[in-house]
Amino acid sequence: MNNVTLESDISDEPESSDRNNNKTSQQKFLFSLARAFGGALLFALPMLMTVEIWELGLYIYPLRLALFLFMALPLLTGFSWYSGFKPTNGLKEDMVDAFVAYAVGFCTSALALALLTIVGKKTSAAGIVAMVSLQAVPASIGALLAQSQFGNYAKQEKKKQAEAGYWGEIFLMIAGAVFFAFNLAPGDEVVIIGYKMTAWNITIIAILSLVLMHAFVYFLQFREQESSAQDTPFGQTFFRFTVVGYAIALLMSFYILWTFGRTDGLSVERNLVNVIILAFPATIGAAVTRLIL
Amino acid sequence: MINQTTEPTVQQNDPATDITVNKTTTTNIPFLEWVVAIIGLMIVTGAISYLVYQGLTEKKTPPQILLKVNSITITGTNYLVQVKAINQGGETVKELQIEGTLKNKGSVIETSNITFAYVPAKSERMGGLFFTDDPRTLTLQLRALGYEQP
Repeated sequence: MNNVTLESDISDEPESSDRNNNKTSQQKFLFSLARAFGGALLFALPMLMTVEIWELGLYIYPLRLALFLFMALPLLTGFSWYSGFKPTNGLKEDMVDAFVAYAVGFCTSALALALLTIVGKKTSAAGIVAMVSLQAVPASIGALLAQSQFGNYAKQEKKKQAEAGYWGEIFLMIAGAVFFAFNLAPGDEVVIIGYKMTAWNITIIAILSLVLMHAFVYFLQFREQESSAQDTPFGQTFFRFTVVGYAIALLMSFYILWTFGRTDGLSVERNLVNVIILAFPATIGAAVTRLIL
Repeated sequence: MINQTTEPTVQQNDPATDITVNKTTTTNIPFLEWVVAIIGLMIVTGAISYLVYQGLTEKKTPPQILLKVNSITITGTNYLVQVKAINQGGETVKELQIEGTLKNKGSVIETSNITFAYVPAKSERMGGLFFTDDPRTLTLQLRALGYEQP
């Protein structure tokens, strides 16, 4: 009997055959939890140490932030499916992991902000909730990316990524675009660049984004299914992935700018300029998420 | 070899452990993970409901800045007046400018100013004004000049 349990221990089977094994599954969870904290720190610390993101917590619209937190949940569930801090089976487990990741992200963000004395006794309750829960989103994404970053990579998830159908690809693009846009939208840079640029500059940025998107899509496809990239006609790849991917980058950029209150009171042209500028890094994010995972 | 010696005791527990096998294989999620997940769920719903409540009830009352002198100290050749800016309104102000004027029977002797990067709604911030004349022997007037909406 003991031999059996030992074997199942090594072979990483999901079933646990006695209390001993149950204990090791708890231990395994603790390990993946530690890994998740590592991932949260790795991905969120640069943002946790960015002044514009702290300040955002002081004036962000509470309802828009609430919506953003809500929207983050399906995003985290999807991330858990394709990466996660441990291999998963089925939607239920991914949803559970999404909440675990959010708990990890929230704790990381709260502890780091308190440690860096950004949040303290003098901060108002509203400020604390807004600052911590906002930063918890990239931190929890980091927690879910932990598995792919710190080795111990499950073949199962790799397979899921390789098999990700069209909608899976679209999901990964959305997730990447959100993460990159979130990173850059709080600063003044996007707006400043917008003031400096002429209509021609903007056009060039938009075209370049599209070209880069297509290049990434093409080469990633090429890498994964060696022959099919050459077989699929240019038009099909271009419209199904490149154009859709760029549209996602634009939409997510707009959504993030709106969430942060950066679209308010601006003319349509100004907003469009800012969205195109922010979509430039968001496009790269959308295109390379597969590589990061 | 060691396994064989322990075998009898294990076998005795077999019926009991078999039941737990069936239970655990159906869920596959360790108990601890459920605990952390439920904490996460509570945090998310807590934060969202707090923010929604705040969003629905908050009154966007215009910023109302109250200025208080916290202390006056001598620092080298200067006098330092520590000022507390309290925003009692419901809107955060950015780049709040404060001017302190020292007056002697109506005539202005000296002015100094502070710019607060942010004074959030219902919050306070501290700053200081330096003067070369002693504010304790003169009349000190504090005034908020203006701000930017973030």
